[in-house]
Parts: sequence; structure tokens; C-alpha cells
Amino acid sequence: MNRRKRMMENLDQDIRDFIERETQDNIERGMRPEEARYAALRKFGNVTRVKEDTWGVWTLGWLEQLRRDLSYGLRQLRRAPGFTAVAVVTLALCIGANTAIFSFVDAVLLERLPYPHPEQIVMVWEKPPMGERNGISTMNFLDWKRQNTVFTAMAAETGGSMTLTGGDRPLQLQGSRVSAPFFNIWGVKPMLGRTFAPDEDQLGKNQVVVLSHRAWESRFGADPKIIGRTISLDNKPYTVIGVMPARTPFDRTQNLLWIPLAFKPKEMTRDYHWMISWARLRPGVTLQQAREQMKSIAARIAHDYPESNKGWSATVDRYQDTFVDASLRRSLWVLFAAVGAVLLIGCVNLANLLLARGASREREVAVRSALGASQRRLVRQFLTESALLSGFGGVAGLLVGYGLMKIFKPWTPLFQLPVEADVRLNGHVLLFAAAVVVATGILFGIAPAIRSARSDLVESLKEGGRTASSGMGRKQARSGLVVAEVALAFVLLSGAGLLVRSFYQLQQVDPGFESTNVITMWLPMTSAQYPNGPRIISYLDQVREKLDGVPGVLAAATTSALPLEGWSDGMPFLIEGRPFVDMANRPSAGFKQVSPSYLSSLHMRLLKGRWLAETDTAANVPVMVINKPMANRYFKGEDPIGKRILIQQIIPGQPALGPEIPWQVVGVVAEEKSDGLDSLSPGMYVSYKQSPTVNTALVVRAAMDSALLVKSIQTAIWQLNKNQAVDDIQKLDQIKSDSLGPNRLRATLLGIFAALALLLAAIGIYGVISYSVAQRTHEMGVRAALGASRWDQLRLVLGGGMALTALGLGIGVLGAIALTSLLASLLFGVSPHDPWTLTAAAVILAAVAAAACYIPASRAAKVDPMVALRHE
Amino acid sequence: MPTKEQRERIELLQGTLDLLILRTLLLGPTHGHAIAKAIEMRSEDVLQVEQGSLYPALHRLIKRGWISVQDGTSENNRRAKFYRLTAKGRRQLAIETSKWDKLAGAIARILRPAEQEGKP
Repeated sequence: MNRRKRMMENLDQDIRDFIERETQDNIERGMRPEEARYAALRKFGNVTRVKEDTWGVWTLGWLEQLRRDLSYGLRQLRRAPGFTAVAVVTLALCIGANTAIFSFVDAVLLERLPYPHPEQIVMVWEKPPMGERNGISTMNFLDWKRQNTVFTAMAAETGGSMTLTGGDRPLQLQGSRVSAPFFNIWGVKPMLGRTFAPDEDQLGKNQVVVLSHRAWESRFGADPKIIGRTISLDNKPYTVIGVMPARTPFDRTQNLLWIPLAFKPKEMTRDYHWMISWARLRPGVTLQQAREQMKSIAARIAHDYPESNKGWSATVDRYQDTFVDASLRRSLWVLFAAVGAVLLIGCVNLANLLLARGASREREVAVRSALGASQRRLVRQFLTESALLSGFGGVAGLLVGYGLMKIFKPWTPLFQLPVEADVRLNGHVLLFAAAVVVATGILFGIAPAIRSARSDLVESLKEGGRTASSGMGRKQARSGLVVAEVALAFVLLSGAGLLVRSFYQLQQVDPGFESTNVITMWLPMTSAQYPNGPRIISYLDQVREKLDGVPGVLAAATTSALPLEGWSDGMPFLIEGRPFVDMANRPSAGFKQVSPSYLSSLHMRLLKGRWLAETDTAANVPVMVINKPMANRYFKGEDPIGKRILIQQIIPGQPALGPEIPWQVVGVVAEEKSDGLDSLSPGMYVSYKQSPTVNTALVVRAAMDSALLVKSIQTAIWQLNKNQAVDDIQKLDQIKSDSLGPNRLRATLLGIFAALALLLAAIGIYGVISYSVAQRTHEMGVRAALGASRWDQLRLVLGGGMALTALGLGIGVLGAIALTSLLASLLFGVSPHDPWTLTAAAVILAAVAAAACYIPASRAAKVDPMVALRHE
Repeated sequence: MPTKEQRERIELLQGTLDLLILRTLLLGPTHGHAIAKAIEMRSEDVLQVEQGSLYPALHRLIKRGWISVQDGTSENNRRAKFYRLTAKGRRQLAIETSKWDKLAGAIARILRPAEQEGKP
């Protein structure tokens, strides 16, 4: 390239020189200067044309050379179909896996958020005295909104699941209640109609709804005239004003609809934290300024309302920094590193193969360089060949990658990826794949190319039948590569081992309940229909009675939160007789309102005292049962039974707290896992009869496969209330298994990659050992002739292979110890340096390596001395 | 201005020009204009060097490593690009010359068979 450029500069100068000389000649012949110059130019002819032709001498040659290299390379590859197939398949798998994982990394971690000026979008939280982030209360939100000058808009959001009626059956639609500026903060436009007008979050104007594309398609038949239509949600008329566009975050969210969040008078509270909030920074305002202002507003509120806010502040987070969950981020990087390592191992294998091939092509190289091929020229030829291979591998890899991405995508647990992540093969991913192809081509091609091109001419031509490849240098290079791939494979294998073990440990955790044959479902109830405690209690009593009558039902219970799906509330509490703590600064613990049949429906274990009884009603002493973590943490060395815990009353159907109720602890149960199998959460159970709530889920234990009961349970409920939606019917087994979804996916993917790495490493070892056996046939023959036994021969070869493996394992252990600590936050019940896992990985790897060595070793052992010696 | 009638002039075959350039440079390194002039003069203006083909030919020879190019100073102290025959080019010239002799002889035998036999 450079040379070409230099040459063209030469040419320019030369042409000028030529014309000057010609002009001079013409002047000497008696022409006038202008005339002479004109004649010279005319004689020279078309300067551009000359330049182009000369340029062509260089360019065409370059292309020509490439064309020749390519066709020569293709011929070489066609001549070795086995080698080509192994190489292309290896590359396709490695590049495919990398492309697939990268499509997730790109969508989740690298892509900019699909909103205008995403760096201005923030989340604002309340900061409790012990903690960083908490939900926010109505009055605090309204004060923030009015007093701040740092945001252009602020919106609160809270869950707004609603029952759609008007069809055959009531249908529950997951939704959100949001303040009017919500959509402006995101800067998104609807596909049809409009989003909320500024005053539509005022009572009386709030009977409007925006649908997601998914809801519009699945529930309303993609009706193009939906705008203006009135639909019935929770038995109230709502006018559809907009439909959000498809394939946007607003289509990937769980929410199917949005309605305005208009605060009712009874929702105007300061101590019930039931919302989250979003805001957009005013242009020019820094995050720091926003944080400072929010802190000072919160301090003022805390000063004015110490009862609810003493010690509370505000936390402002940039959305783009927090929308990806830390463990998802970590998992993706780990997986990305793992596929990268697999690719590296693949490259090492190919480099090895190419080195072996280079050895068998030594004579060819010698002849070519004797005929005048420069070293550079030879390196180029070899690199063209490896580029051809990686090109084919890349095309195949892209197909594999697309397939893998399509397979992995549904594996990701539902709604685990941020809604902004649009996983697909986009330009970035293609660019990445192309870069990987080029990089691999160079990576596995350069070392063999240089080695092959540098081979000693005289030696390889001189040395009769045997080639010089058994020379020390090449052998060391190949051995080094094997050691490297064993080390890499070991790191992957131990990483995968740790994740699998941690997944196994999680499965062994006692969840505190038995999930077999239990079915769960939600019964959405509105506070309009069930405005007070007695109404709720009598409805739930009837539901339970109905369910108990369904044949096949062993036990049926109601609960305000399902197992493994959190607590319905986190309630601040004070244990009677302990030093007084401000209302705003009390510790809080999980709180669930259940029916007395909850314990028997789930087969939970009572450890002490008694469980809730049907006789614990509003007329009697309020009682609660606490779980073991609660007893351990707050009643250390004390008997909790008989102690009283003060908790503010939860007022049904509204975000408000009433007077304190002294709950008497009557029992302790083994922990029913609530926040995931890997966490420990203190919590309390009370009867819905003493603390009614409209949050109602059913837990039904069946005598047989619980799925068979779904129909009869629904029928029973609809006999009682035909407008009762039955939502989100799931087996408890499923909930339990879903709660492990991310762990399972991580373990599975890393396991697959580790298996791939193991396979590649085995192929690599096999290749190197069988090649060295082939090279040493003569030596083996001599040994056999001198009386070496089969066992001696076997040991010789196996020993060589295993020595490499051992060295690789040694380096791998160091690597694993350095790297597995990155996994620490993803592990449960196993140390990142778990000796058992590392040992198991080493044993597996050693066994595979031994097997890979054994095949060529047994071949060596069978060497017939006569044949081997005649081999010359 | 051309000094001979246009029709008496002969355009060079490709390859032939290469040979003539090599031959010209055998006398010593020189610049592009001088090469063209030399060929025209030594052929008594029968051979016309097209500039359109001179420079591509020079570069082709450089690429093959038969000639090299260097900066130099010409007779009247002007800087110019000097083309120089390389050792490889010298060998090539010998090969090409003998090839040319064979070719020319063969063509001559075909075109003038009688002259060869008839005249003593």
C-alpha cells in the first residue's frame, strides 16, 4: 500500500519533469515558450490516463495476487476436507455462541436507552433511616413535585391491575396508574391517539386509558377505531385515548394498560409508601444538584412532619445507571467472558491444526521459497488461507448465532431482561461478528503462518524422508498451545461447576412448604366493591367455603402474598416493653394476611406455640404467628410467645395506616421462603379476619395433579360471583422453579460453554498427541525392537500428554482462583474457591485428557517394529 | 513536431517496449524523458514511444524488480527520477534479448524463405 503511494508520487514528479524537458527541447527547436509548452503537453497526451494506467499496474497486481492466493487457498482447503470441516465447525460454534451472547450483551448493556436524552431520566426514592431506597407516599410526592426546580416533570407510578368486563369472562389486565406527565418523561409518542393531558390526573377527568400494543392486539382485535371507545375496567367506564407502539419498551413491559393516577382524598397520606416516581432533569441541571435539592426538600418535610418522616431523606438515581439489575449485568459479563474463552480455545485448536498442517507442508514452503517467494509473501498466503477458513466459519457462525439467539431468548425468564432490551441481530452484532471473524483469522493464523514461512530452507530440503517439523521449536509451540487450552478449559469448567453446584444447593434449600399438587391464583378485588373489612371477610369466608366443597381439594387458603413472591407489606413494628422508637425509625418486617388454612394448605411447619385459628376474629384478641428468622433476630434468647408487637393497622383498600394494634405472638413457624430461596426474611402472619385486605391470592392443595382442578375451582368461584376475575393461575411447583430461573439459565449456559471448551480441549490434546505419535513411529519401532513392552510404549505417550495436561491444570487452578471470585455474587451456598468443585473440574479434565491421549497411545503401543523401521 | 511522416512510424508491441527500456538502461541510469528520446533517436524516429505506455511500462518493470527508481541530478543540475537496471533486470534483459532474437529470426525465416536459400 505504502509503496504504491510512494510510486504514484514519483510518477507525478516524473511527468512534470518530462513535460519540462520536452518544452525545453521544443524551445531549442525554435518554438516560442507557450507554443513549446503546449506542444509538449499535446505530445504527452492525457496525463490522467497515464496516471490511471500506471496506478493500474500496482492495483491490478495487488488484486490479482489476492485472487491467486484465494483460489490457491480454496484448492488447499478442498484438498483437506477433514481439516476444513473440523475448522469450520469449530469456528461456527465458537463464533455462533459469541454472536448470540453478544446480541444480549449489546441489547442489555451497550445500547443507549431508546428515549430522547435518556441521561435526564431519573428515579426518585424515599430514603428510609436504615436503607437507601423505599417506595414513596402521596403527600411526600406532591411536596417534592411542587417544591423542586430541578425537574421538568415528575410522575408517580403504582400498580393498577384491573378487571376488564364486557366479554364472556372477566379478564384481569396488568396495568399501572401513573401521573399525567409519565409519558412526557419518557418522551414517547403513542401509535394511535394520544397520551394523558396534563389535567387528566385530576379526579373526575381520570376515566381514560392508554393501551399497550399487546393489549390492543390480543384483547381488542387490533381495532383501528379503538380511540374513543369506552371499556369497562373494575366496573367503571374508561375511554381509550391511545395505543402505544409495538416493539418498544412500552410493548415489552408487563403492563397492558395505563390509567391516570388521580389521588382520592383517602389516599392523601404521608406514611404509606406505595408508589415509585420518575422525573426528567431540567437541561443543564446536574444529578448532583438534583440530589442536593431533593435532600433539602426532604429535610424540610422531615422537620415539618416528624411523625412520619423523621430521619427520612430522598435518593435520586439516574435511570440508565440502574435499569439493569446488578446480577443480570454480572451474569452477562460472565457469560460473555466464557464464550470469549471458548473462542480462544477454538482458536488455539485451529492454530494447532494449522501448525500440524504447516509441518506437512514444509516441503511445499521450501520449494516455493527456493523459487523466490519472499517470507512476507508466504505469510500472506498462509494468512489468506486462515482468513478463508474464518470467513467460512464466520458465515456459518452467524447462522448458528442467529439460531442460538432465537433459542436463548425464550429461555430468559419472563420479564427478567429490562424492557428496553431489544435482543436481535442488529448492526452492532453483525459488526461484532465481523470483527470476531477477522480477529480469529489473524489469531489462529498468524503464529502458524510465521512459523511455516520461517522454516529452515536447507534443513527441510535436506532431511531425507522426515521433515524438520519434529524440531524442538514447533513442538514447543504446539505443546504451549495445549497447555493454554487446558488452562482455559479448566477455568470455564470450574466456573460452570460452581454455578451448577450453587444451583443444586438452592434446590436443596428447604422452602418451608411443599409445592407438589398445589395450585395458586389471584382473585383481584376492588375496594369499590369491597369497601370495608366486614365485606371482605364475608366474601373470603364464602370463597373458602365454596372451595372446600370442590371435590379433590384437600385444603384451600387465601393469602395476601404467594410463597416466593415476597410479602404483601413491610410493616414497621415496635415490640411492647422495649425502648420507644419513633414511628418513622422503626425496623420493619414482612407482613402477610392469610386464612388459618394457609399452614395446612402449604404443609408449613409449626415450631412453637399454635397457628392462627378460625376463632381468631375481629371480636377477639389480635394474634400473630412469626417466622423463625423474625424470632431469631428480634427475640434472641427470649421466648416470643406471649410478647406483643405494635403495628399500625392496615386500612383495607387504601394506602393509609390506622391506629396501632398490639398483636400477641402465639406461635413460631419454620420460614416459608418469601424473597427467594437464597434469602432469609423475618416476617409475621395474621388472619384476614383480624386484618382484612383486598389483596387476595388462593393456595389450593389438591389430592391429585392440581392442574385438573383449575376448571372446577373457577366454576365454583363464578357460581359465587360471576364478575370475579381469576388471574395468573400457576402451579406452586412452577413458581418455585421460576424463582430459580436466572440461576438455572446461568448454570445451563455456562455448563454448555464449559462442555464445548472441554470438547475442544480434548480435540486439541488428541490432535497434538496423535501427531507426535505419528512423528515418532520410527522411534517407537526402535524401542519395540529393543524390547520395550506395550505398556512402556503406552506410558511414554500417555505420560507426555498428561504432563502437558498437568501443567495446564496448574496454570488453570491459578487462573480459576483469580477469576472465580468474580462469580461470588452469583453463588449460593458455595465458596468461589470451593475445593470440591475445583477438584472435580480437574478430575474431569484429566480424565478427558487421558482418554484423548489413550487413543493415539494405544496406536503407538501396537507399532510393529518391522513396519516402523521400514517406514524410512 | 514529428520529423517523419506519420505512416512510417511503428507503434510498439507490449513487451517489446519493456525490452527496449531495459536495453536503454543498460547504458546507464537515466530519467523518463531521456529513455523515450533515446528509443526514438536510436530507432531513427521509426519507433514512437507513447507516453501513455512508457510510464505503466516503467512501473511494471519496477514491480517485477527489473529496474529501480531513485532521485538523482541530471546534466543541467536538475533533480529528476532516475531509473536504473537491477541485477535481476540485467539477467532478464539477456533472456529477453535471446528470446527476441529467436522470435525475430523465426519471423524473418518465414517471411523471406527464398532470400535465405537463393542468395549466396
